[in-house]
Amino acid sequence: MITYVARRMVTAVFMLLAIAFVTIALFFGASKDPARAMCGKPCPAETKAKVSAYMQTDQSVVWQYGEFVKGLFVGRTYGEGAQQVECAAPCFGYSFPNRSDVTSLIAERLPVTLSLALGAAVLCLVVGIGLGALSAIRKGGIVDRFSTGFAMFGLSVPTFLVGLLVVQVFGFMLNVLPFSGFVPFSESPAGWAWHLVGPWMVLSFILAAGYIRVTRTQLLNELSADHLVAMTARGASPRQVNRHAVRGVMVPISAMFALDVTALLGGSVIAEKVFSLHGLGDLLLSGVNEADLSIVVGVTLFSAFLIIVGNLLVDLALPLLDPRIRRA
Amino acid sequence: MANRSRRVVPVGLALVLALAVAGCNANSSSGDSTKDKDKSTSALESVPQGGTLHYLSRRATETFETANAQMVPTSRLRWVHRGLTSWQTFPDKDTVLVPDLATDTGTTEDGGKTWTFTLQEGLEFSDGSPITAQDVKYGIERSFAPMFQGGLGYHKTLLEGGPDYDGPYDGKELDSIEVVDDHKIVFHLSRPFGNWPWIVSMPAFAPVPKAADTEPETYGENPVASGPYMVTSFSKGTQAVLERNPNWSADTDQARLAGPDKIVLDMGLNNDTIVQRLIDDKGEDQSAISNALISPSQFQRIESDPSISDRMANGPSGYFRYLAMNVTRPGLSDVRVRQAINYAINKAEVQSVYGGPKFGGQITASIMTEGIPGATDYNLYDGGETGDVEKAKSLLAEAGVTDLKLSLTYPTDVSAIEEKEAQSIKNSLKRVGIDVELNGLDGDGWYELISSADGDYDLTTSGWGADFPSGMSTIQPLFASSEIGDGGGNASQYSNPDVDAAIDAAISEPDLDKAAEMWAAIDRQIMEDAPIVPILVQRTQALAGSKIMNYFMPAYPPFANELVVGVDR
Repeated sequence: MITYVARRMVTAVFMLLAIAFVTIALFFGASKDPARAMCGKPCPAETKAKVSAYMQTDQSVVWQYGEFVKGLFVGRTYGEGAQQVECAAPCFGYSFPNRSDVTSLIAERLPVTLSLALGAAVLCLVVGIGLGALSAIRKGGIVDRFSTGFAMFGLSVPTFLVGLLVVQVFGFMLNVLPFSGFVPFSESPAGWAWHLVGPWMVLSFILAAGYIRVTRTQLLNELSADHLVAMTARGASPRQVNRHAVRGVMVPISAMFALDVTALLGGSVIAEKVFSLHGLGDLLLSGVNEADLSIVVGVTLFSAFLIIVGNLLVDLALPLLDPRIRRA
Repeated sequence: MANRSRRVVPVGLALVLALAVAGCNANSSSGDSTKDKDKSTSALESVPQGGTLHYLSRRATETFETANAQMVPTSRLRWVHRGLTSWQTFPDKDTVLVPDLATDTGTTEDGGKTWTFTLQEGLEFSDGSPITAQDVKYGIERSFAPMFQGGLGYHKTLLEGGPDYDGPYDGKELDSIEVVDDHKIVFHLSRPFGNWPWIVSMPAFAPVPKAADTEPETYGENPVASGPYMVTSFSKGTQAVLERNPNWSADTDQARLAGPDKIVLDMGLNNDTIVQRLIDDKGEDQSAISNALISPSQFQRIESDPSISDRMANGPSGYFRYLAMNVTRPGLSDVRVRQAINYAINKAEVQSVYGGPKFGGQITASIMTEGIPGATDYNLYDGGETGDVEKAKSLLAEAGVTDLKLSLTYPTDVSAIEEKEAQSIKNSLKRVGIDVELNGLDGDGWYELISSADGDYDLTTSGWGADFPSGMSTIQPLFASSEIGDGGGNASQYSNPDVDAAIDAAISEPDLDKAAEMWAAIDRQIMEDAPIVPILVQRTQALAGSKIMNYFMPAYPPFANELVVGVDR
């Protein structure tokens, strides 16, 4: 077990290093010039060269990568003497448009994304599993028909459309929800939840679709599985049967859930944009728009890190849920 | 800020400012017949004192840092900071330069190479310390520090020794900014520059007391104020609250009316949500202005409801839209071909692509746009609004050109508008037998191509906005031969020694009325060589809440004056 975890961790580190390299290479492969965006107006060639040298974007991809990796462990400085800005280890780079190191930017934005992700995850799990289970138990019933349609709709409409609809209907037409903004939990738990209900609804609506379908299909499979049929035949109560069936459903659901949560933690670009929330998704988007390499690499790596960790946790947790996996 | 308008619709860096305009009930400029100077509207000389102004910004990186700001002097940055000079804007006449901290707009005795300004007596910062010439010098010096890259940097190349100066943080001063005494400051430039009085209205000329600059990186979040408001709370990326600066006195300030008692600036809001909130006009949003961009799809809705359209300011001012022709290319080296293309373009069609005459813009045939001194309404190649196909064909025949094939490059990553515009130009030229191949590139790739001397392109669509009202900020960046390649804006690669000499003389001329005449002549001289097809002066629009007063779009710049709005109570 320990060797397994250790091996996975080592792979994860290499994976992250590779992702960092690809991100940096892709960024410099594109025609965006970060120095132009930060050069001001007018921008004579000498000024641009100066800006580029200060931001260290005039160096090769390999050099950039080397500095980046070094910065993770020992930090980085830009400029010289009294001019320099420091980026303490672990340095994910320094964002010049924001005049802040990326590590603190991520830390600043994380509470927003965390609130958004966890609320949406819980809501989608409740709705998804609830509707899915009810559909399976009363197959063909009214709940089943409704939730199948609901799931189909959720899977097929784009997030931005649902987001805009929610803002339009609940924010502007009914005026029952705030259309934007974020209140920290520590400031006012009620205000926090109140401002997040809209985005939670949007994200969980989109995500719940998958859970409804998987829960329903899986539960139906389980209920018709030989061992449960046998159990019923031996006179077990539906309650007992269902309890066994649920264990079978838990495995795919947990795997799916862990991945969704980690993806959400990496930032939901569209939901954040629509609701003017300043989380990681919004940060990434601004990095792309402003040709800010440090943000792009930093947030990408952070998301990748979460996904890799999420995967690892799922792989470690699944055997606990399902003994069959342990034996395999 | 006035910037190259490569991006017209949200997202972009280019229109990054307050496209904020709107009419208050008493003062909406309808924007019709924009060359008509006899509109009954006028700027108010005072607004109600009191109330809270709300500012809804789509930018999350709002700060009150002046060293790297790229905003016009009538923007929200100047609620907090004054400059040596500032601007007064009007709905019905041209923007004028007025003294701000200084007692006049500057004097020169050597033809524009050395400029002297005298500060008013008795001015104080919000912390009670006196505003001195040394503070102005220090503020300018900061803008040279590499850590503050960006911003309006005309002074960085103009001040003697500027190109080699790296800011005050390692103890060095810029000697070409001479502090004679507490109130007198002298600038030594590397060349005569007649527009220097306008340059000192820019953000970097706001005073910064050295003692307060202990954490330069975050100074802009809580700066010492010289203007009517000081920042009393700042939450990065979310909200700033401004309250009155008790040490500011209205008698000393010709540029600000300082109506509201308090200003709440909300940052990083979704553009469409802002527009929707302003349309809805509920609660606090009734006293709100914004920098949101109104998309063409929203015009109809606004237009159909007078209670909304009354609150929209629509201005003649905006961005110059044109088609540049790369004169170094074989197909375009003959002036008659370029003249033929001037006749051939159906400008009315491009106008409708941008939203029609009312919202899109006015058709134009000259380079300098309305509001820029010297701008004149003339047309050397009058083919009517839809173009003169016969005239174009005969010019092409005269030049002996048949089967001409040209490439047209344009930026695609912004909106479908530029693509439609390119398609329209292709159709126009097809009518006269010129075959155009469209080459859409993402914004940065496009700019890289058209700003390199060996760029492989024939035609490109482009836009331009001036940073201050002068040919210096429109003609020079687009037509001086020094602006070819190396990231310069001369996409036509137009090089005419006579024009270069004339531009140089006009830049130097300290008598700005005389300079305006010189620029007008250069405008015409360039158009005789036809390196571009002027197409439109794009309009800009913005909405304000129903309680906002004195919010209008001037002839120039393409932004409402945020320093003079009031809140009706």
